[in-house]
Amino acid sequence: MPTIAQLARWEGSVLLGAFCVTLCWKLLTAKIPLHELLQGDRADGSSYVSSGRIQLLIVTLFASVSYLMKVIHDPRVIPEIPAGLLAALGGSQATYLGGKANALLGLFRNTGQNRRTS
Amino acid sequence: MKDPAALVSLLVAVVAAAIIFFLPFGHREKLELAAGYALLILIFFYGMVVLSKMMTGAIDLKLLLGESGGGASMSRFQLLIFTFVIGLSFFFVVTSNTEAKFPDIPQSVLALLGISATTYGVSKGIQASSGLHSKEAAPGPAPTPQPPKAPLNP
Repeated sequence: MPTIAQLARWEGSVLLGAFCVTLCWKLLTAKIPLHELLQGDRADGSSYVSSGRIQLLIVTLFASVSYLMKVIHDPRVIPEIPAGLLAALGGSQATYLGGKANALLGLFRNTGQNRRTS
Repeated sequence: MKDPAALVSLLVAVVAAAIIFFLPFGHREKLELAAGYALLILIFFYGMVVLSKMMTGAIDLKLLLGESGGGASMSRFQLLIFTFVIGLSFFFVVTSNTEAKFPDIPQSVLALLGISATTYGVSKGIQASSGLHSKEAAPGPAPTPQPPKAPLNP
């Protein structure tokens, strides 16, 4: 009979692996749609390919892969994330949020102008 | 409990715990083993129930990354990736260590998750503001003319 620790290890591996595979499968088959992931909104409602979103995607993927490689390389401790990477991530997030907030402010401005002219 | 799969998993866990009680161990050991195996079986079966529902579409994941205006949200996507990466790393570390102790989580990892979750929250706030604003700005539907009320019968 396997010990509780062995059983917990197998169970965790199976469940986490299955959740990852399910999500990846759903992402790849577009059951979880990713359309407009890289598209930002302008104030007039039109959309464009946002460089801020592309940057955020690249930084996210880079941080994730490098972190997983670190864990696989030395799985005894949870590794620290370098301050530089955190700063890059924070900067990317700020750019992304700034773009969104800018579109919202533009929407406010346009609506105000429309109200004044009508 | 309406779900038959959840009922079956509970039954299997109880049966496993009952079998352990007939094994030749001390009372305390039996209790520890029975509780441990029963919990593991329950968690595994419940996880499998959730997984099967996700696969068959009973748990709909279509809007997992969706923004309110349609399209996928970058902040949600990032939070999903980081959650899995940190979760997998934590699992690797726990299973690789021989001593049974909770590993220390560095401040930088908490900061990473905090930044990601904050972005998600702020992004939701911006979306909500724009939704409210467009609702306010959009002219409401024209009131439908009501038919004249029939005079009351004397």
